[in-house]
Amino acid sequence: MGPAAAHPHVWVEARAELVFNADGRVTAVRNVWRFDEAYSAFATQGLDTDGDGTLSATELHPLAQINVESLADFDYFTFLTAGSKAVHFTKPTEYWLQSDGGLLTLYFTLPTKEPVEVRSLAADLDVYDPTYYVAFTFVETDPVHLVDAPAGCVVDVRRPGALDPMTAASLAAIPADQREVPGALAAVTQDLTNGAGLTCP
Amino acid sequence: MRQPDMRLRRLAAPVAAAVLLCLAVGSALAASPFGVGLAEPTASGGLFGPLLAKIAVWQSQFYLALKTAIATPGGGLTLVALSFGYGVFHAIGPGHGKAVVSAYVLANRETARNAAMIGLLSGLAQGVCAVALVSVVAIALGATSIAMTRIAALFEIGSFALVAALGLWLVWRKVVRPLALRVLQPATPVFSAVSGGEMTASRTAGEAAFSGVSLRRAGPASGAGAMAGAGFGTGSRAGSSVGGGFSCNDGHGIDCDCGGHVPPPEAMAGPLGLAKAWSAILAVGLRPCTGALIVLVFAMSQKVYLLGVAAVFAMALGTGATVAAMVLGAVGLRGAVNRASGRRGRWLRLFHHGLEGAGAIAVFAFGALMLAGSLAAGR
Repeated sequence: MGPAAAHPHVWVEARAELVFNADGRVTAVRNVWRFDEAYSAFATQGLDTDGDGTLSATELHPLAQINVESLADFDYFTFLTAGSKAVHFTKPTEYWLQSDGGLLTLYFTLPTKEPVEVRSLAADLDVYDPTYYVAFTFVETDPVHLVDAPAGCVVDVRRPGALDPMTAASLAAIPADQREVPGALAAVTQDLTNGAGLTCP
Repeated sequence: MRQPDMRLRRLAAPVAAAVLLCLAVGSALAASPFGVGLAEPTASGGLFGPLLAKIAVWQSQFYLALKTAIATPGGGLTLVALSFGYGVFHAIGPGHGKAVVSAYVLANRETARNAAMIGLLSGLAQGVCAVALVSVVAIALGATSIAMTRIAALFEIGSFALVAALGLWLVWRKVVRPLALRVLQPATPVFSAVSGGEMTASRTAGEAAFSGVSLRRAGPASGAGAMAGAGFGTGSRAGSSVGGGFSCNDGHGIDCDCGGHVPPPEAMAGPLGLAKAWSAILAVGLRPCTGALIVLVFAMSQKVYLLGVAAVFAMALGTGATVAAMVLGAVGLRGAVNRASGRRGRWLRLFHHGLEGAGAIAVFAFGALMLAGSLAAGR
C-alpha cells in the first residue's frame, strides 16, 4: 500500500480512546468513526432486511464484520508509536455499527499485542488513510481521550495544516515498514494529518 | 511456410486468454478498506506528485459539492454541471482508462476521429455500466452493498483481464509475429508501406486467408477464443478491415450488462471501424467507478434516483470528453513526429513500429499488473 493521490470517497469524523491498564500501560485503542451521509447510504443499501425503516445492530452486523476484516489490510488506519517504535495490534475484539439519522458510526476496539509503556517516551497516535481514499477528520472536542491514564499525561492534537516543514520532513523519514510518505506528497500528507502526540511523565 | 505460424496463432492467444479468464473468475473480492465499494487505482508521487495532489484536492471538492447538490431539492442543473467537472478531473487524475485507450489507439494506428470516439465511448461505457449495476443489482434485486461490491469486483477483474488479453493480442500482432516473420521470411517485406497513420487494407492472399480464420473464430460459440481472436485483422494494417467483438455470452463469468458487443460481421468493416474497438472500450468501461456507485445509491436513498442517473451520465461525458482530448493529443503528437521525420521511409517506419510495439507492450503490462494486483488483493 503506497501513498497516493487518489481522492476521498469516504469521509470519516473520528474519535479515539487510548485505554490504559492498572500498570499504566496502553492496552487498546478504541476507534469511533462516523461516516458521511452518501457513503452511509451506499453501505447500508439492502441491509434493512425486515423493512421497518431502521437498521438494527443485527442487521448491521454483516457490514461491521466485513468492515473490520477489510480494515486489517490497511492497518485499521490506526498508527500508534511509542518511542518511535510502531505498536502492533491484534484483531479487533469488539466491533459494531450504529445508524442514526442516516449516518453510520463504526465502533471498534484494537487491543495492542502487549501492554505498551509510554511513560517517559514520546508516543504518537495517527488516524488517517495514506492513500486518501478515506478522509479522516478528528471531531472538534476531545478527539483523543485517555481512559485510566497515569496522572500527568498530556495529549497534543494535530490537525490538517498544523504541520510545520520540519515535522513534514521527519514524517517523510519514517521507515518504510510503517508507512512511507515521500516528500513529493507532503502537500497531501499535510492535509491528511490527523494525529495526536502523547506525553506521560 | 505459414503453417507453423498459423498453428501457433490458433493456439497461443486463446490459451492465454482462457488462462487469464479462469484466473479472473476464480477470485472476486475487492480490496477496499471497508469491504464495500472498490478502491480506486492510485498513482504515487514522483515528478507529478504535487500536481496529482492538487488534482485530488479539486476532485474531492467537486465530489463533496455534488453530494450536497443531490441532497438539495432543485439542484438539478448545478448537479449536472458539478458531475461533468468531477468527470473531467477524474479523467485527469490517476486511472488506467486513458493509458489503455491511448496505447490501443497508437498501437492500432487509429485515425484521429476514431481515437476521439473510442475515448468518448470508453467514458460513456463506464457510466452505462455503473447505472446498469445499481439499477439491476441494488434496485431490481435489492442486494446489499456487499453483494454489489462483489459484482463490481468481478467487473473490475474482467476489465483488467480484457486489458491484459487485448495487450497480449497487440503484442502478438505488433511485436512477436512481425519479428518471427522477419526471421522466417527475410526475402518478403513484412511491413508494407506506412501511410502516416491512415489505415489501408492492402493484404496478400495469405493474410486474407488468416482474416477468414479470425472471422470464424470470433463467432459467439467459441468462448474465450473468440475474445482472443477478436478485434485485429492479420494484415499489416492493424485489423483495418477485419475484426470481431468480445464475445461474452458464453459463460466465462463476466457479466456483460454493460454495453453492446459482438458486432455482426457486416458491422466490422464499417466506415468508422469502431466495432473492433469494442474490446478496448469495454476493457475500460467495465470497471465501475466507486464514486458513481455511491452517487447513484445515495440519490436513490434521497428518492431522486433519476437525478443520480443524470449526474452519472454527466460524469461519464466529462471523463469521456477528457480522455478523448488526451488521446487526440497522443494522435496529434504522432502526426507531428511523422511530419518532422519528413517522410523518410525507413525512419518513419521504424518509428511507427517502435511506437506500436511500445503501445502494445504497455497495454499488456498494464493489464497484467492490474489483474495480478486485483487477484492478489482478493485472496
